[in-house]
Amino acid sequence: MRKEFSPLVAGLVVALIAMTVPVWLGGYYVQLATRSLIISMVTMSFVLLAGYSGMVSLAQMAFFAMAGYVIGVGVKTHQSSFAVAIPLAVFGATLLSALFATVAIRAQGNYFLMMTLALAQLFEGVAMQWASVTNGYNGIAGIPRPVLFGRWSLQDTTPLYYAGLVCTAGCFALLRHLLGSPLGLCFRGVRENPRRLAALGFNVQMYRFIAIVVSGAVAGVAGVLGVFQSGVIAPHTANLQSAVMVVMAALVGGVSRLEGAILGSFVTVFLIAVTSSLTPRYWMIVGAIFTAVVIFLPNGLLGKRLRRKRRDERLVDRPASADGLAK
Amino acid sequence: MNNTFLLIMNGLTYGALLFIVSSGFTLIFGLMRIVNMSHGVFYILGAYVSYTVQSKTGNWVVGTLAGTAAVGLMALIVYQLINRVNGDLPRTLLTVGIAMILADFCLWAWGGLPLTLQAPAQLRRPVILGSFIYPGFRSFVLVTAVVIGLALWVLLHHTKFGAIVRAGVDNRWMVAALGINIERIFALTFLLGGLLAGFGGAIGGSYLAFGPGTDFIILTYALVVVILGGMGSLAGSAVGAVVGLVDSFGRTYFSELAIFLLSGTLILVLAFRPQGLFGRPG
Repeated sequence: MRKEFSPLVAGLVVALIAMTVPVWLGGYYVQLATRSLIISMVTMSFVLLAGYSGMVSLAQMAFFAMAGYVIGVGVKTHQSSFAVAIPLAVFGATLLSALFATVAIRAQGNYFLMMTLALAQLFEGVAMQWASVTNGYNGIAGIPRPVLFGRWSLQDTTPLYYAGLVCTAGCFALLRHLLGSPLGLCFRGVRENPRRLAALGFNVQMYRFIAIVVSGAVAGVAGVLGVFQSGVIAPHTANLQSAVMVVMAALVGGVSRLEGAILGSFVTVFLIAVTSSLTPRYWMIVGAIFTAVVIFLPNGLLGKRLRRKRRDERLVDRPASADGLAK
Repeated sequence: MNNTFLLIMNGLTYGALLFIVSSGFTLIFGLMRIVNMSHGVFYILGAYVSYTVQSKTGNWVVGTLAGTAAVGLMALIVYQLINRVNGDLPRTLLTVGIAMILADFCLWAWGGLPLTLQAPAQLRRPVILGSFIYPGFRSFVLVTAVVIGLALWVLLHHTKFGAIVRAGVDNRWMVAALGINIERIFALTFLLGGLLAGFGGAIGGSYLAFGPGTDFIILTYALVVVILGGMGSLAGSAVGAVVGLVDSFGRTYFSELAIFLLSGTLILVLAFRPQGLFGRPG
């Protein structure tokens, strides 16, 4: 038997490292790690759609921003309590994703991508123009953060990190469970061959709708934490560059795995942070790296390894590289 | 009354500009199934190059031609890069990366302040129609869009190149199988799209300010036009006129919610015609 690298041991090591990050890293790096965790939730929501259901969505950051706006408007403008605002924010993001889904599931492939981009851009436009609610270009700043159990304020670096860790782990476990369930199998069927699935009597459009709504909820959770980290929500949160960051994170990690989404998010967030501290031209460099990833690394960092999976698993878990998605 | 006339005209001239920009976009999509995400950047690049050449030579026409040519060249370079990867989706993502690089390059080279080009005085003379007075340059844009639309129509429907492109929109593999060098046709279409976007930038930049962020706005509007009109359909990009009108009236009467109006139109049309107004069900 080939020496297998045990997922259990790897998982324990990762968990141990993740739980002790604030002990051995400085404040700034903990903040970056928190940011990475938040982005990794959005990226997982992207991977759920792109890698498992064959829909490349550029609208995930719009769901993220929607949750942020609900928190901003609710807590800052209307002084509502967090117990009300947080569920409402996730609900708002889910609702927006349902609205986008009703329009976008009619399209496939590149057309779907284009549709989600148009919807996300329109969302950004609304956030920009509807100034009496969203405060226009500047957005809503100085949003307060909750204090958990009367002890840990999420304004502080370490509690927020652990909140991010718990939420990321929760989303990961939830999505993993979901993808392993019969519903998850249907998602993959939608990716592999929608026509055959439809011929077998499955309602393909319904599964695509469900996938988008679930992804919207996950992105919404990330959006809540995102606004707790920055304290600001503005239209540019939903812009194309943010969407590209998510796509990049997914591509770097390999579109076909949830673990890849997390790894890719860490790589991407740290990469952007490092380059932006070195040069004001960092978007040029990030863009060049993104381009290089698309050209040279279509399967991502974790993608190649997938080919070595057990055969029975491979039957349903064919690698969905950016390349494989394109059919 | 006069106000309504102005709103209609402003909407139509903006729609005319959108038509110029999105006709290339829709052809590229229709033929190659690539969403050219760098189309918005092509627009501002055209405007910026025109700006520089115009301020060096003092001649608007030379500037416009230079901007158009520069973007055409850039489109060919981008096409060479796109040709290195396989699959429609990676190709689309590649254009996203290129858009980021070019947008940042423009910010670096030309700064962050909005600019406008100075159109020649002959073109700025107001047009007087009875009791209506309308800015000359906007009328010029309207006429130009009609001319370009006619030229594209002739190109697509009365030349061999056009016949190949139309066949390619329906089935590019079949066209390739018939022994036609489809890659050359792709390159030419990409060049055409680039030229149109660059020209649109030079023209649009002469009466609408442009700067960082304009690329995203143009890309969004081009997307909306193309989705509404239907992919790969020249007539569909003429829907730009409708988008321009909705935008023009929306901005005046519901200033805060103009984009809502646009999104509403989009969602409503797609609810009844998912393939767009002029698209064929695929």
